[in-house]
Amino acid sequence: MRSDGALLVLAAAMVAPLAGCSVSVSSWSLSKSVRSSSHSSDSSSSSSPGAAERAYREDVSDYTRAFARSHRGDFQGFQADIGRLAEEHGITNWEENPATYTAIGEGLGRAKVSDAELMAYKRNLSGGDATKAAAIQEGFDSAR
Amino acid sequence: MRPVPLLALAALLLARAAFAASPRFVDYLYIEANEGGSSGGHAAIRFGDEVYHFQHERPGVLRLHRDDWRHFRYAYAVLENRTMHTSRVAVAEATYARLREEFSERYLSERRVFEQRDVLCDDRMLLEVLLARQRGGTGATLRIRGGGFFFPEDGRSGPSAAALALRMHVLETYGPDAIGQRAAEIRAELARLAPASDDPATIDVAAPGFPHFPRTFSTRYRDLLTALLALRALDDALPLRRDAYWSPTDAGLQLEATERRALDAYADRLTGELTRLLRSARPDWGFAFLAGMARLEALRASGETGRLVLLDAFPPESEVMPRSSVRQRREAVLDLRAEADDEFMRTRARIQGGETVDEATFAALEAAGNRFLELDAAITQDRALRVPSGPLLPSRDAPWSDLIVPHLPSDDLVRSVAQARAAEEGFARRLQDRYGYNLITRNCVSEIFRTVSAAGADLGWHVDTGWSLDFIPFVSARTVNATWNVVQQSTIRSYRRSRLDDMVGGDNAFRVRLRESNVVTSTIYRRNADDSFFVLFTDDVVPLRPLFGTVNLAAALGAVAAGLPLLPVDHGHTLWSGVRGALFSLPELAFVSLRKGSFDYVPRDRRPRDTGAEIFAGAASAERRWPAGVTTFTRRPPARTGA
Repeated sequence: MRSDGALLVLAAAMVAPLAGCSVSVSSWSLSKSVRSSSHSSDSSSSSSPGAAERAYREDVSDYTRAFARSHRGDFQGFQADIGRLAEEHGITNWEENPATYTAIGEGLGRAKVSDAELMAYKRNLSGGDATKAAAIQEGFDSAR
Repeated sequence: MRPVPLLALAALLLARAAFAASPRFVDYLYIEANEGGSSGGHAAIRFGDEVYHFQHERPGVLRLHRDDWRHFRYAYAVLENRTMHTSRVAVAEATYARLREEFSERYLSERRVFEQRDVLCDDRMLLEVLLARQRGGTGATLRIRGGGFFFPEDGRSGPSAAALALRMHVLETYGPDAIGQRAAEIRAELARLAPASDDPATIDVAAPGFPHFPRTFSTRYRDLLTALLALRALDDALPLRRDAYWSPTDAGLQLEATERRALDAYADRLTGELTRLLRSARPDWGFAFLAGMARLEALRASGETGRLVLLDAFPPESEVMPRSSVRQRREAVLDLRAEADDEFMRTRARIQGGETVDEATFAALEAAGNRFLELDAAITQDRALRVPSGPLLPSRDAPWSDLIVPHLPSDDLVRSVAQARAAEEGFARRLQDRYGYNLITRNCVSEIFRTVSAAGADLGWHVDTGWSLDFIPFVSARTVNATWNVVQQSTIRSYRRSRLDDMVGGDNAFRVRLRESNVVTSTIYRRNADDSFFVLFTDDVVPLRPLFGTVNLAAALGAVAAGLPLLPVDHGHTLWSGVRGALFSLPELAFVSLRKGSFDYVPRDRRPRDTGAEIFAGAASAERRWPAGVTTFTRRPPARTGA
């Protein structure tokens, strides 16, 4: 067993200059014709609509949590980032998607933002729409 | 009983109690080596249907990727033909959540950092274009994302009725001057736009927390210019360009009554959504408006004709498979078309079944339709095949020469170009420092363990890749099995070995093994241009491996000799294939098999069933059914004796 291990290490060392955590097949792009490689775009697959929405919500929630813990106040930057994230899920007009606001609320709840910060997000992102503000609050409450 | 066993028993009971409430499982995956960039093996970590893994990419950086489990398994175990070993780790619910959050946040954070690299490059290029314009140059243009659905106008007759209706709705909502006023405001803002005074070269890519980059000059400029194009397309009620949408005459695209009603209803809602979008505070509303207006026109055309009209959603940067390759792989492309058709039909069935259409549903329909139509066109029209590298989102771009040069002194613009160039170069350097790949200290294994450590998760033992051989994927898997709370180990065989096992079970074993032992008579493997030159498979014959390796080495050297005179004809392909073949035959002489052969496509009916997600996701159950090619054994979690 030990000699087997030693041989493996020896062989690994022999090819060390070539080794390295990358894929070896470049021509499998053909197979990507029917399925994209990324989790998010795959999640837009029609065969699992529930999974697609869950993946979108998780991404928005995770991003919001990370953003809210590190930065405050740059709502334009936040909106631009949400826009890029939503596009990965096939969504361009994220402001019309109720899941966006619930997920933002969840992310804020997980980041444990203060009530004042929550109010700021609601004010800046809802654009005066009570339904959107309520969705943020709902997501926030669910994550507390 | 003696005190030590008592303590160990208590530790075991405590550990079990921690998981008793709601056990979750994290899978540590070790993927065996193959030739080329994967000759050291690979490692990944899996949470339910998400797999996170670090990949070595150009230009020498290591990046975190996230893949759907089914895709990951198909890519690595089937196409790359690599056996995967799974170590299933039982963790408490809170630990699972913390780990997943850490990996997700790192993934999103890295993606933002690498996006910024591209943004800084764009910043420099835009400033150079504007400087050239200021000096009287007229040649340079900008490509505006989303503009390609309407611009450059292709002279089709008259305005679009759908766009006219949208325009009327906008004017009724906001007043007769709404579009003109908004356009004037944007022009004024563009003219006032100035590069930021703060120096982006000082931004630290390694700063703690989620990266935050101020919006660059080019981002602001592009957002405003795109909004201006959107307003112009709306104001002129431009029709879609003829090459911007699919309208095949295939009878299968005839809409059913329920489908037609659902799409009409979505078009009505979309009119309201686009009207609200015009007043949105989001800075990048212009692209969303262009894509939405293009979709609205396609939807209205579908309603009028009773046939599904879809935008061409292939992004401009899609890979292109040449026509000659499509011809060579016609059988595979036909099979892929059938697969895409099934997916398209499933999506349509959801709408036919009464599901309310929103943007997500429509985007899924659009993407599935585009995949099918592209494959169909490649076959029926004998043309090249576009393959998307990312999600299918309508984003055709258009060259735009009507640029507004901000009112900036020439010296300021020159200084800004120099500053942007320095920022771009500085950022690339810091990116390399922060994310540079290192075979030993920063590879696909070390970063998984670092991320686990950063999450503060207790999986049973702290794995240190700094002072051990744990940086090697297969060694790391052994360490995980020995020290983490691994409750189950399983093996997913490589595609070739899995198929071989099936064949051996149902036929004359010796004859099958003999036939499948080499690339000439094998019915499973067909020569893949990506693989190095070899004759015999060595991954399933340990005692004979050095002998087979000798044959492979001799054959590869023969290919090298044949490749030299062929250089002018095949541009060194045979020579290089022979060199790599010889190199990867050497470990076989020492009983180590790295090369397994790979596949560029495997038909649906030969792929392993996608049952992995059900097997590993969620909580454990006493009885499980395992698919072919998967072997498992279960053991109790080790009693933890250390931190």
